[in-house]
Amino acid sequence: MEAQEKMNLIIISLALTLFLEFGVYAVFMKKDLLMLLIYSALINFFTWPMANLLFEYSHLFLLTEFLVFIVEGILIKALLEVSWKKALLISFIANVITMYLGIAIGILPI
Amino acid sequence: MKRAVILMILVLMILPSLNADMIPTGEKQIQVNNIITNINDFSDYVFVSYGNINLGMCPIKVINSDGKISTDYYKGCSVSVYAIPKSKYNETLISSFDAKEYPSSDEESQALINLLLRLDAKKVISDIRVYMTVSESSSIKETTNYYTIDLTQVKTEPDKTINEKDNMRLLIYISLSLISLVIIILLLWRRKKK
Repeated sequence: MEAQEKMNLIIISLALTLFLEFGVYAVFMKKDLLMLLIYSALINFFTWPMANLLFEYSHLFLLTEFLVFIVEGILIKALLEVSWKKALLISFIANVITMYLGIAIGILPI
Repeated sequence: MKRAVILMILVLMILPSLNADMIPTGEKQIQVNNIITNINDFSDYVFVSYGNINLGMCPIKVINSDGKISTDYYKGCSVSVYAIPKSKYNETLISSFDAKEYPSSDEESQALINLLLRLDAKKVISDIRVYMTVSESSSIKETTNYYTIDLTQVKTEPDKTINEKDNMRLLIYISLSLISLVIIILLLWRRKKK
């Protein structure tokens, strides 16, 4: 695969993850959509690259997914100011959806 | 109801890893280099590599003074390096080896190894990797294995392996993560001050 093609795939994957997780936040939260999009971007710009690097070095898929679920749960709790239960539920649903999407497009699902 | 939800969550968590095992997606081949670091310490020897299957797919190749072992082999070749005393090395004998005389690859390979042994060849490295794949998301683009040989033993593992990485991607990933984390901390800090 050419470097440019690979970079495009990475950007598409990150953008899809960001927008899908934003969609999940929007379903659960009655907040300003622009703010939710910004929070989704901040959370995913932090966790997505770190998860890719962790998976690259460890090859531990479930551990990577679990850590992403926990870290995103903490960030959702802090940024969206919701209960722990709701934050972890949002994180879980968002990550399950993006995990399956990642598998479908054949690159690291985060 | 709660049990059903927990079961569903567990299935959803485990299913992707099962799928990932069944469908080999997202792999890429990388360049592999194998180098003998101290080949010039053995000036009385000629070093050759051979892939242990047959000459068509895994030919005998002479290793030059730069110590670089050819990786131009079929990926199934199990490449080994042999040291042959210069006084015994006979290129004509090796090149005149007729593979057609042998009905199977196993017999051909055995005959060739016997030929090398007749030349007093000593195996110094075995199981050399000539083919390697990594995850598509991996930043590794090239790997180099370094062997320091000794005529009294057969090395099966390199002494040192250096992976050349796509540092630009690594830099982008780390920068993006750190910048986002700083913004998140600043946002939370500002919120707390209010």
